[in-house]
This record gives sequence, structure tokens and C-alpha cells, in this order.
Amino acid sequence: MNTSTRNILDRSFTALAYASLAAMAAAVILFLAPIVYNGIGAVVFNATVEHEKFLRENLDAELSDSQAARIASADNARKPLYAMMAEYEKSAGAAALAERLDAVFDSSVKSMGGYSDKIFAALELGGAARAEALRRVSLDFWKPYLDALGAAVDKSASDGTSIALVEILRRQGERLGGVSRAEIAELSKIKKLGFSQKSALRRNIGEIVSEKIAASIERLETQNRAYETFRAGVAELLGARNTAERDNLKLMRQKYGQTRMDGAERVLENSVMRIVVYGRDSNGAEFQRRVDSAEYFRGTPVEKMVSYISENFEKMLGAHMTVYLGFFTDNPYDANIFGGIFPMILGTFYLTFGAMLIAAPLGIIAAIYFAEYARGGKITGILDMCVGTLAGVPSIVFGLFGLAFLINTVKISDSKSVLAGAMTLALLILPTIIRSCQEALKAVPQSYREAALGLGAGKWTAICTVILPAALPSMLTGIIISMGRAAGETAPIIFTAATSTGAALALNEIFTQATPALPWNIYNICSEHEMAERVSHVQYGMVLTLVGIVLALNAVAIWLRARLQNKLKS
Amino acid sequence: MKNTISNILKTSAVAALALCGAAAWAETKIVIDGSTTVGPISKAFADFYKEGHPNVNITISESGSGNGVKSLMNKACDIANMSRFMKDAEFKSCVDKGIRPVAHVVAFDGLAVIVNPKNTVQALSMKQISDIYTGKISNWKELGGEDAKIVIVSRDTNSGTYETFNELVLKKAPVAKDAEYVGSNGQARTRVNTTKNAIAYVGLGFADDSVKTLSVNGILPNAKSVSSGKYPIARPLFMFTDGYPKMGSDVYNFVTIHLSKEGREIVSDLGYIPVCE
Repeated sequence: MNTSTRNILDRSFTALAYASLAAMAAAVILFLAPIVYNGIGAVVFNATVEHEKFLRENLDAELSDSQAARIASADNARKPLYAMMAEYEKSAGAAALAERLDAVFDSSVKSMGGYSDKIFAALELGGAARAEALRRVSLDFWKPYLDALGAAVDKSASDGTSIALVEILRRQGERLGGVSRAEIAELSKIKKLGFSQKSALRRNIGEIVSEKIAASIERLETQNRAYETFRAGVAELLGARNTAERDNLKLMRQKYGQTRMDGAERVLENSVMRIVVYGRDSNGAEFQRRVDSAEYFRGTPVEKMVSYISENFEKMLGAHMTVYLGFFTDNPYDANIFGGIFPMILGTFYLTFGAMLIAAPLGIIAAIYFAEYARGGKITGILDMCVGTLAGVPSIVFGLFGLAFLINTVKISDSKSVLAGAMTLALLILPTIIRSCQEALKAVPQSYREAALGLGAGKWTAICTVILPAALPSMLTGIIISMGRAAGETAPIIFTAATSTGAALALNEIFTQATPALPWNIYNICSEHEMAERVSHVQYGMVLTLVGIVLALNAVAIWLRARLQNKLKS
Repeated sequence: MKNTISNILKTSAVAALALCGAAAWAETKIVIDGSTTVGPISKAFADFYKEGHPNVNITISESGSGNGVKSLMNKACDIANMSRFMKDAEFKSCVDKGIRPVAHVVAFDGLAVIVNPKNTVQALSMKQISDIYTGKISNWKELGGEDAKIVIVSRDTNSGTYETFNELVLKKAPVAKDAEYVGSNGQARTRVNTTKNAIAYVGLGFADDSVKTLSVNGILPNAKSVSSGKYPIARPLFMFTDGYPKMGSDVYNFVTIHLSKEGREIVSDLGYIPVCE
């Protein structure tokens, strides 16, 4: 091969190396960038005033003047909306309407007296003919009321009496029974009535009205249900209307509205500007469909509310950028919808350090045996193979082992506990620790050992004073890197230590109690959570925290190694 | 240097010993395991209970009804959440292990049949749903929808939701081979939300605005239609304990929350149906 060919080959190899380095860097950036970007979104985000309200009322946060002012101005912006809603729900025209309908009802009842001849004539008939005749008569004297009722129902959507009308109709429906009893008594005075005649009267005299009332109520309720849906959407967006209402609500997610603008925009889009309404298709089967709120409520007082919300959306929520460092130090509230992830971080620390404390001494001792004492026989070979095999066992198998052996057989704790989890993780990282320590010990030059022995040191003294210190930097690196692995493992802790929800544990509780931990909760939140999209920022925040912990551990390993090596050199 | 090493060795040895050998403290705790459907109820109850009893630690794992009963059997939990009743075999192994399961019905739940909001189908009959899941109907065209293959999403066979659906709708017929199995209600909903031609069934509390709920035999699932028995795919949700808990104990208090006014409100706020209204 001549020189130029060799040069070209050399160059192309260098180019290839750089290219692969660049590809790797790009991959890391591609992988980390979204994690970092979305993860930071859990801490630094465009918040609404509901966020500060939550902090003030649950975590005793002190609010600055500007924050208090923002809350006040948002509350002011909401006032007109709440006034509109209150007016609609109370139905301003309701009292007048009730009076009018009651008057028509009464006059219809009074007019009955004039029909007594017709009623007696009808009663003389028998069977179906009698019922039919009674119906016809009752239709005559109820007519003014039925007309008024129909008109009121038709107008209810536009004049906002829909909710009150249901109440009025229910009340009048209840009065019907009394009316027919009174009428029967009245008629009995004129002429003695037989039992079957009475019962026919009782059945038929108000039947038309009660049918009409039932149908109207059903129609009104469908209409009201759409408003209920809309109101629920508004409540999801803005939270409770006032402190009294807030104290009555049980779930945190109902007490406060959306704490983040991204969530608020989603709710505005999905549950306020568009709502789900119900209907029946041609076969009478119920169905639900999504409609545009403004379109659906056109011509009713609700339309004004919809347009008010879309115009004053930002003002009502008081959007502002905020930094919520409490994400790392606060407890979660209401299934992670509010608050931070402190118990998960703490749980991960307990598990990781617990695993390290158990695995490191065992690993170091085993490594010393393998590197310094073992005399390459059959048994050593088998042991060595065992360690190798252990390193290749899938982590879920460790998890099941932890459950079957540590919890169910040895009963190290009566259910899942941090202790059981830490021991399982320790088993998982033990082979890695043994291997890395073994390599570190092997890397100590043979001359060190010979020099120590030559100076009269015993084997143990030589190991303690010369060999271990020389191997320490690499050993620590190995141990810390396996800690990083333990921090991120999910499978071993599913059955042994991790729960979906639980409190932050005190040190003395870790022997008996289970804990939430980052890797498991990341999975749990994205798969099990009933409002997964509402807490996706928490999920990203957890991922970033976990990646941060692992990276930090690795950085510590590198730093420690450099420091110890310097120290040893000097 | 020597000191550093021996110090490190000493500390870790002591700490390891402490971790391994420490006696167990007696703490007030309630350990709950089981159904992902009952999960939100027990989480909300836990938040509610902790307000009045701050020193009780309640841990909740959601690993499915089947795992819940296994946990109870091994005395690894105090309360097993289940979205179905215990099977005979499970009951028997509990009794064999000295556990006497007592069922507490905490709520009712309808199974909502959900499709993507873009799907034009609005209503199905029990027969049609059963035919979809057993593979007899495989195209939305046959149901009045677009010409597209139906993506069947089912819950895993370990879940109570699957058991209920299999019993009430499929009458124990096997699910079509090309069905996709997911591990939780949330995942089923996400799959339907992101897949245009998918169909799935989830607990009523999980059917939100991101998916479209179909009416079954002409009835949409809601509190009224489920508790009146009109909606055909409904079930009670259970919490199982070992024996009836001692009166006044934390576990007793916890499994009776659903009977209180607050408990009923929480249940219905979460989208389930309270036992007594």
C-alpha cells in the first residue's frame, strides 16, 4: 500500500470517527432536548391565578402584592360572568312566569264548574267511550293552561326561564291530584257518583295535563343539561365561584380551576367553546355529539356568557409566567393534579442509597476475594460464571424474586417496603459492582503488591493500605454508576416497593412502608391516571428529575475519580 | 487514605446492618392494592381520610383486580380493590390461607363503550358490540360507519373490567384474535383518542371529552341509567378486606367512607355512581 492510499484511508477513518461522534451528539441532543424542554415546563410555566390560589390556601404560601392584585383583578373579570350565570340560574323572569302560569292554572280549574253537565253526560257512557269523552271534555277546560304552558316552554330557552320552569311545572303537576279530588267532591254534591265513575274521573280529568307536563319537563331537562355541561366546563376552567362553594366541594380538582394556561386553553377549547349534547336518533336510541357552544346556544342568554368567556379568557385567568420550585419540594395533591413530586424524589433517594449501602460492602468484599484471594480453581470458575449470569438476568425477574423470596417467604416486611425494594435493587446492581471493583483491583500494578509484601506487610495490610487506595477511584466510579442504574430501574420495585400514591416517608418508616418512586410513577401517571393529559407536565417533570438524578450521579462519579486520582498522585 | 477507606467500609457496614436487621416499627398504615378502576375512588378517599387523620399513611397500588386478590391472599395488603367479585378459585385459596374475604360495595360503575370522536357511529346494540369483539363484524361499514377496519381494544385478562365485559357482553365467548390488549382504563382511552377506527370499553369515570361514548341498546351510560338498571353493562365495585374490619379501626373507617354523605359526593364527582342516593 503506498503512502497516498494510506493517507486517504487514515483521513477517511478520522472523518468517519468524527461523523459518528457528531451522530452520537445529535442523538443525545435529540433525546435530551424534548425531555429538558418539557420537563422544565413543569417548573417554569405560564400559570393562571388558580395556581397562586392553590398555593395560598393549601401550602400557606405568602403572596406578593402584585400576585394578590392579579388575583383580585382576575376575580373582578369573572364577576360579570358569574352575575350572568346567577341570573340565568335564578331566572329573573321566573317569579312573573310562575304567577302567570298559576293564574291560568287556577282559572282553568275554576272553569271546570261550567262543564259539569258535559262531565255527567260523559260519565253515563261506559268503558273506553267514557274515558275518551272525559278526555275531550277536559281538553276543553284545560285549553288555556295547555296553550300558556306550550308558549312558556317554547320561549324558555330565549328568555332564560328554562331552569325555573322545570320547578314550576313540577309544582303544578303535584297540584293536579288535589284538583281532581276537589272536583270529584264538587260533582258528588250535585249528583251521587258510583265508584267506577269516581275512579274514571280521577284517572282522566288531569291526564292530558300531566302528560303535557311530563313531556315538557323532559324537553326542558334536555335543554338544561346542555347548560349544565357548559357550566361544568366553566367550573373546570375557573374552579369554584367563591369561598363558600369551595369549602363545600370535596375534590381539589373541583375547588380550583386550571393552574396552567396550556391546560386552560385545552379546557376552553374542549369543554366550554364546544360541548357534548345528547339527543335521540330516528330509532329512539340516545346518542351524544359535540357541538359548538355559541352555535347551540344562539339566541339564548347563554350565548352572551360564551362570548364573554372567549373575549375575557386571559383576564379571567390572569395569565403570567411563573417559576414553581415547590415542584421538587411539595407533596402532590389530588392524584398529582396539584402540588409537587417530593415523595417520589425522596422514595427514589431512599431506594438508591439503600441499594448502594447494601450492595457496595458486599460487592467490594466479593471483588477483593476474586481479585486477591481466589486461586483460579473450579469453584472460582463457577462463582465467576454465577456473577456473570446474575448480571444478565432481566430486571423483572429480580422484581419477582424480591416479591416471592424477600416478602412472601422471608417476610422481611409484611407488604411492600422500601427495605425490600432496596434489597432487590442491591441484588440487581451487585454483579456490576463486583465486576467493576474486580477490574479496578486488577488494574493496580503487580509491583505495588510486591513492594508492599517486600516491605513486610501482610496480605490484608497490603490490601488495606496499598491496593484498595490505589483502586478506590475506579471502584467508586463503578459503584456510583450502578447507583444511577438503580435509581432508574422500574421492574424490580413494582412488586417490592413502589405504590402509586403514598406519603413522603420518615427514615424510621422505610423498613415497613412502601413509597412512591420516580420510575414507577412516570409509568403510572401516563397509563393509569384518570386525567392523564391534565398531568402530562408532571410526567415530564418527573422524567427530567430522574434523568437529572442519574446524570448528577454520573457527574459526581467523574468528579470524585478525578479528585481522588489527583490526591493519590500528590 | 487508609482512614478514609476504613471509614467508608465501617459506615457502609453499619448502615447495611441497620437496614437489614432493624426491627419493624409499628406504624398506622393502610395498604391498598388492586383494580385500576377503583383506583381513583380509593385515591380520593385517601386524600379525604388523611385530612382528618394526618398520621395514617395510605399507600395505593393499581395493579389490577387479579393482583389485588393475590395481594390480599398473601396478607400483603389490607384492602383489595376489585372491579368484579372474587372468582370461586380465588375465594377458595383465600380461605385455604386463612383469609376470609368480606366484600364492601363502594360504588357502581357502567362500562362505557367508546370510539374516536371522528367516528360517525353513535349507537350500537349489545349484539353488535359482541359481534365486533368476537370478530364477526370487522368493518365500520357494516355498522353504518366509514369503510375502515375496526381496531379492537380490550383490557388485559387480569382486569375486572375485562371479566365484566366478557361476562355481560360476550357471554364468555372468546375475544377475536386480532384484538389489542391494554393494561389500564387510561391506556384504552388514549388508544381510542389517538386511533380513528378503534373501539374500547372503559369504566364510566374514564369516559371524558377526549372520546365519544356510544349508546348501548339505545341507552347512554349515566348515573340515572346505570342505577335504574336500564344501561346493560354495569357492575358494582368492591373493596375486599380480610374479615370485617374491627369497628373504629382505620381500615373500618376507610371502607365505610362511601356510606357517608361526603363519600357519596366524592364517588359521584369522580364519575361513578354512589351505592345509596
